Amino acid sequence: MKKTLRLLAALLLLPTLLFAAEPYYGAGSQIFNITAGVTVPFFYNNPNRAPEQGPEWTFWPGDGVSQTHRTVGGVGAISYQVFLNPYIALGGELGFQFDFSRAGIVETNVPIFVKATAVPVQGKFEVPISLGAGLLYASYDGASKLTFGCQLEVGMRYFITDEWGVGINVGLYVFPEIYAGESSKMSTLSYLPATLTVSYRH
Amino acid sequence: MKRIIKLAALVAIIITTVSCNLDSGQGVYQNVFNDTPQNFQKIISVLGVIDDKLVVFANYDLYSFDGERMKKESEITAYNYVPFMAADGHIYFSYVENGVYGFFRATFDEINNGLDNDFIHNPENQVNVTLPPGSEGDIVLFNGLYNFNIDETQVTYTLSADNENLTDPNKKIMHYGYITKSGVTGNTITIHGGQEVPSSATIIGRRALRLYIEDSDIEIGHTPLKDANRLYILNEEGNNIDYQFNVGDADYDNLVMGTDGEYFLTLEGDLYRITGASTYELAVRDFATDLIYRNNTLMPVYETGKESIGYLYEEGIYINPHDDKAPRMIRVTDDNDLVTSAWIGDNGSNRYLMATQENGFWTVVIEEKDGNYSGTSIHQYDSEIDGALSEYLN
Repeated sequence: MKKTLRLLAALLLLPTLLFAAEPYYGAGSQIFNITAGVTVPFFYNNPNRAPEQGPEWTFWPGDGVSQTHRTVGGVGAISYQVFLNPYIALGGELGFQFDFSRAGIVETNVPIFVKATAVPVQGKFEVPISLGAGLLYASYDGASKLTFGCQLEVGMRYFITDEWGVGINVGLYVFPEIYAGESSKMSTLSYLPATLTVSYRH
Repeated sequence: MKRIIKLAALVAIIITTVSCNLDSGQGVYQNVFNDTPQNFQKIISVLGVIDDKLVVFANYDLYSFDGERMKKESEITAYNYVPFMAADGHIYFSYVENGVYGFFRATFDEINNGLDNDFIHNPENQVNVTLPPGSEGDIVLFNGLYNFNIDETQVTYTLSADNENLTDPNKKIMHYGYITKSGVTGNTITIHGGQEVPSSATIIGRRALRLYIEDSDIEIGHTPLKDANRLYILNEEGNNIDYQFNVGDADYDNLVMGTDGEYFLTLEGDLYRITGASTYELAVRDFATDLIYRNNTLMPVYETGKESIGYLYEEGIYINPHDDKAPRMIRVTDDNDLVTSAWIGDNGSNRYLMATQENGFWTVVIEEKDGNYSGTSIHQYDSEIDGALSEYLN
């Protein structure tokens, strides 16, 4: 019992100990990530949906009229960031997300985000927490839209060598399709991505 | 610091540019959300009426529709027996055997007991068929109707001639023709016409074809239909041309429709009755002001002792009474663009209109009182509410 308690205490204290340690990064350090994974269509909000057609908010997986009407999809992204200080990196990310409608036609989203990442736990084992926002290009079956989007991401990564590491991430994409005058076309889509990352830092 | 300021300025410019153009775009996410499975291959045709229920040929099986729900009545296990009509409590089938074209008929119970050679070749079940003269070779691929009108004695039809791809409307080869049914038991039918027409032509009633482009490959009674923008009125037998009418520019803003005996033309929103090869008269002023799409389905509406015409457009069916009153609109749906077949007929107690669309179908009971039309008991299949069409049908 005592051994278990000691192990638990050590695990809880580990991030604090690591955070207190000498930071790995310095201003000007760079990190490059290649990410790929799956996306779940978490929710869809259509404020213009007729009540008799179904609810305004639908969530995955949903049932009947409460479905988001999209399949589980895929996502890939590349990002490049420079550390402003030992704990905060700033850069950009170019992504590509896809899934399929009920008609079997592909829907794509291309986020071009400014991405800020805090790395409170760093070294060989890291816990990056990221916020991204920027432009989003959505398209489906000949229709397209340039709008804005944002993302939140939390991950864990382990550096096998001093420069190369692998990690896993979960997050939340929120893509509002914004119109200024034609509010009838407005709706918001959200995904839950789960991804694997290969990182190179220098 | 300068780099950061430059980057911030660039981002600000991009955001401003996008923000100023926010109303461009086609509602992408709503398009995805509202898109539905492509189900047009499921419903093949409406065959007619048995016991006051519409009989639908779908998923290669037979369903009855009572105005509320579909019920599977029979499974068609042999694809070489193709149902093409429901009448007199029977389903009429066509088949090809050793290159010979044949017909038989069976009730739902008989179909469920199994259609074997003994049953099909039993004289009681065989249907006497008169084919168009000289066209047996051409019509051998006949495998069903998918757009027709029926009353007690007659069916107007278009035929599909592609067994393998029957489910794809784009691959259908259409034939013009009509069937007459006679005999006390209705077991003698005659197929008139049967001429192949291209998808660029429109079949109107049982005696008219509208041609949009010149096409000398089409022949009716050995007369090539070589003039574009013509309405060809055929003779009673459907095998020769009575006369042709110059419809005008084929910019599709003047539609032609008709019943068996009358043909109409829309010109700048007014409706004209065609009275001869070069004569027409005003029938209804302000009939429709925006009939510009060929996708609209135009159909005759038969009434006892008289005929009216109607058309599917935007939100409903418009029925034009047989007088100079404005057309009555019966709202049925907000999307008629994808109508793939339409049926209208009397089931003994009500007049039904049923149309199949890519994503399902709808029906409406049409009532007429003192010249005013209304739609009651509207049933629209909605894939969002009813789920996948295949589930609904089962």
